Amino acid sequence: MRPLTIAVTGLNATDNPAPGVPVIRSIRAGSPEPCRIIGLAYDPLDPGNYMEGIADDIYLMPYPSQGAQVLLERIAHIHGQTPIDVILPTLDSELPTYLKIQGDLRDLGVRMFVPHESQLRLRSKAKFNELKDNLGIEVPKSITLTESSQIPKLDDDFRFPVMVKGQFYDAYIAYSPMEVEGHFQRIRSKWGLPVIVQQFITGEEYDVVAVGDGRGGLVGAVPMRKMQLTDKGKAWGGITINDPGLNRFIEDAMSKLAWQGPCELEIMREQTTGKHYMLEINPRFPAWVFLSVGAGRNLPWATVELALGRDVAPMEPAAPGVLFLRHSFDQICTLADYEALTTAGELHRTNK
Amino acid sequence: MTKQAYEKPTIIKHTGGLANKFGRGISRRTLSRIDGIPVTSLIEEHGSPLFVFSEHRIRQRYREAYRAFSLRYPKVQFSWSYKTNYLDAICRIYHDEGSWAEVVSEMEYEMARRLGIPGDKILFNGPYKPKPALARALDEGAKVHLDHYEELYQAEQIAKEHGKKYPVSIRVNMDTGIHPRWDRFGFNYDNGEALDAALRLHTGGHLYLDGLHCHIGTFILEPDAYRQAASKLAALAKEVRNKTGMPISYIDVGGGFASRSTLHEQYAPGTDSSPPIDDYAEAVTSALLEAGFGADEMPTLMLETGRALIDDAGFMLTRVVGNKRLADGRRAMVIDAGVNVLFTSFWYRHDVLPVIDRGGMLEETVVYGPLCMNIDIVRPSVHLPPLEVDDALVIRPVGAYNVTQWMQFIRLRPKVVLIGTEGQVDLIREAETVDTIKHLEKTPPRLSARSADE
Amino acid sequence: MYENLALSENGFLFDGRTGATYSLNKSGTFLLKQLIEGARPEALKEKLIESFDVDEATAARDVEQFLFRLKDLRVTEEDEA
Ligand SMILES: Cc1ncc(COP(=O)(O)O)c(C=O)c1O
Repeated sequence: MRPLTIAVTGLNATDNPAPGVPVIRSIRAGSPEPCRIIGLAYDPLDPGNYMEGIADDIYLMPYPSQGAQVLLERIAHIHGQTPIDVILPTLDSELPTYLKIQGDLRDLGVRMFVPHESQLRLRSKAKFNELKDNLGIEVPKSITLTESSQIPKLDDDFRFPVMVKGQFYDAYIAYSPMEVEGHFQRIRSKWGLPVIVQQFITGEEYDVVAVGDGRGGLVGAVPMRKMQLTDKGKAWGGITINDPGLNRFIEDAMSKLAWQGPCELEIMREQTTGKHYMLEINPRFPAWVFLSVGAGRNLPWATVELALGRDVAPMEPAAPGVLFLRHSFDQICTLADYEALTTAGELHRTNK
Repeated sequence: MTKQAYEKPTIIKHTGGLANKFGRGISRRTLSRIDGIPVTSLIEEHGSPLFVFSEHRIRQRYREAYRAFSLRYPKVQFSWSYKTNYLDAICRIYHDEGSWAEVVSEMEYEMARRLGIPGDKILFNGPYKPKPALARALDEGAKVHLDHYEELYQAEQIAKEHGKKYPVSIRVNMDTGIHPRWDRFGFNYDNGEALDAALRLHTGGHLYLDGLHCHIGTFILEPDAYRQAASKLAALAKEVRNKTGMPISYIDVGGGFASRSTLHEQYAPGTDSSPPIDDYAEAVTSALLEAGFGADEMPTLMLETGRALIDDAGFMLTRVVGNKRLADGRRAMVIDAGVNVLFTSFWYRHDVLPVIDRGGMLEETVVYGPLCMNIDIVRPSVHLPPLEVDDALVIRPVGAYNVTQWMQFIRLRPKVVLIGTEGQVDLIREAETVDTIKHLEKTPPRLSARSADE
Repeated sequence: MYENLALSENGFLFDGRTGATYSLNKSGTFLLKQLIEGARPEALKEKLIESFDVDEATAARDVEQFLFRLKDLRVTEEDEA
C-alpha cells in the first residue's frame, strides 16, 4: 500500500521563516506510520527543499498571483505523478487561491482542512470591529480614518496613546492627535487609505496556535509567551503557559468564529482590568508550531486527521513551561539538487 | 542527419526568487482565435494594431447581468454607460438587448438621440450640463440627475420659463465603507444634504422628485458597498415619501462593478478576485427588498453598469516591432499598440498573450508601446516565450474605456472591428488618416503663403 | 579557456568565477558547449546551421546577439593575464 501522502507549502526558512518545515516535522512526529511528504516550494532556493528528513519530493509551484487555474493545473500534474491525500497550505497569501480550487481538489481526492472564505475576510484590519459588533469577540476599539479632519475628534472617543496602522502593514504609536496626523500622512502616502486608529492597550501579549473543528469546537490550542524576539518582533523563543482566563477567551473566540482549521491568534491581556483582547487572527500555523508537539498537542497532525475525516478528541490545555529556542544553521547543499529544481522544477529525494 | 527545430539561442540568469518562473509549473498560454476567428487572419485583413469586439460576449455578459438582477428583483432596467464605449455599433447592441442610455454630457446625449433613443430612455448624469442641454433634456423627458444646488436652481428656472413641472432626480454620495469616497458628485447623504435637496426641490413647486441616483466609484471589489448604497438610497426614498407624501419611481445604483481585469497592485488575477455579478446583485436587491417598500411603491432598480459588461468583449491585436535588451539585462519588446490606444494600461495588468508559442524559455519581459515617450509601457513585466518581429499578440480585456479615452497622440487611431454572433467580421470604425485630424485646422493665409522648402 | 563554466546537458550553467547560475535553451546550450570545447566564435554560425533548421541570415544575427549577451553577462569574459 502506498503511504499516506501529504503536501505542505511554505518551505522558505529564512530569518522570518514560513511554517512549512515545522509543520512537516510535526507531521513526521505525529504519524504512526511513515508518510510521504511532498514539499510545494515557490523558489529553488527555499532552504526547506534541501533539508534531510523533511520533504521526500519537492515541486516548484507557480506564485498565487498567477491565479487559481494555473495552481490547479500544477497540482493535478503532481497528483498524477505522486497521488496526494492532503494538502496543508501554510501561507496567508496563497490561501484565497487554494480556497478557490477546494472543490476541484476534492474531486481529485485531495483534501484540505482550512478556514472558510468568510472567515478569511474577518481578518481585514479595517473590518476588525465587526468581530466585536457581530460576534461579540473583544477587540481594541478602533476607527478607520479616511481624512485628516477626523483626527481632532479622536480625543472624544480614545484615550491616548493610540496605535496608528496601515491597512496591511505598518503600525506606530501616537501620544497626541498631532502625532496621529503625522503617522496618518506617512501611512497614507505609503499604503493608501484607510488608516486605522486603534486604542493602545497596556498589558501582556500572548501568541496562540489553535485548531478549530469548524463547528464551534476547539480541537486544541497552545498559548505561549514570547521570550526572544527578532528585530521584526517575531518570536525566536517562547514558553507555553496555562492561564484559565486566557484559555476561556480562546475557546470562546474559536467557538464564536466557528473557526475551521489552523490559526495563530495574537491576544492582549490588559494590565489594569485583566480583560483579553484579540489583536490579530492569522489563518494558518505560526512558524513556531513545533512547540505544540513539544507540549504534547500535535496540532498539525490533528489537522491532517481532520482533513482525512477522522475524529479528533478535543485536547486538554497543555502543561506550562515547555520552552522553545530557535536556531539557524548552515547546511551544505548539492548543486545538482539546485539544478534539478531550476531546470525541471522538481526534486525527488526518495529515489536516490 | 536531420536537423533540430530551431529556436533563438537564449541564456537567462537566475536572480533571487525569479528562477522559479522557469519551472515546469508555469502554464504557457496563447490565444490564437477570438470567437473562432483566427487572430492572424484578422490582422492580415485589417492590419495592426486592431481593436476587436465580440458581439457574442457583449450579449452574453449583458444577459448574465440582467438575469442576475431580474431573478432577484421585479423591476430592473439597465442603461448603457456611453462613456465606457460609445461606438455606435456597440451602443446599438446594448439598446437591442433592452438597455437605455446613460450619458454624462450633451455630446453623449446627442449620440444617444441620433441612435433613436427617446429622451425618456436617457439618464443624464454629470456635474456640468450646459443650460441649453439641460433645457432640451428636461423638455424631452430625460431622466435628469441633478448634481448640485446651482443645477437644481437652473432646472427650476427652466421649468418656470417653460411653464412646466418637471420630474428630476438627484445624485447622492455617501459613505459605503470604501475608498476613495466619490463625494465630489451629488448631494451628501450622511450629513443630510441629500434629504434637504429632495425636500427643497418639492417646495419650489416646479420640480418633483422622480428618482435617486448614486455611483459610488468604479472597479469596486466589495459587493457590500452596494448593499450599503442601496439601503441608504432606500432609506432616503422612504423619508422623502413620509415628508412629502410622494413615492419615487426609481433607485439607480450607478455602475462600478469590477470587470475581470486586474489592477497593477492586485495580487491575484481579476478572473479570480473580481466578485461574480451575482454577488453584486444579491447585495443590491436584498437591501432593496429589506427596505420594506409597499408592494405598489417598489421603485424600479436602475443600473448603469459599464466596464463589467464590456471589458472582456474587447481585444487589442498587435504585433512585435522589435526585441531589445535593456542596459540592466532585462528583456524588452516593442509592439505597435501603446498607451495612446490602451489607456487602461496605466491602471490594469492586461493579459498579453502570444498567438503562437514556438517553445523556448519564458522570460520576464517589459512590453513597450510604439510611442517615443518614456511612459509608453503596456506591461512592466510579463513572462513571454521568445517572439519574432511581426509575431502577433492579443491584449485583453480592453473593451472598457479604451476606445473612448484613446488619445490622438503621435499615431493615428486604428480600425475597430466587430465579430458578429454568426462569425461575420465587420468594420465598425475606420482607421484615422492625417486628414481626419487636419481637416478641422485652419492656417492663416499669411502663414500658408510660404512653403517649408523656400 | 572557460574552466570556470559548468554546463549541463539540459542547459543549466554554473559560472564558478561569479557564482551565478543560468538556464539556457537548446540552441544556447549548443553554442556555449561549442565555445567551451574550443570552437572559435567565427565558426559558430556554420555549426548552428549544420545542427539546426535555420537560415544563414537568422543564424548570423542570433549568434552575434548571443555572443554579445554572453559577454554582457561576463560568462565569456577573459581572465586578465
Ligand atoms: C454616473 C456613472 N454611471 C456609470 C458609470 C459606469 O461605471 P463602470 O464602468 O465602472 O460600471 C460611470 C463611470 O464612471 C459613471 O460616472
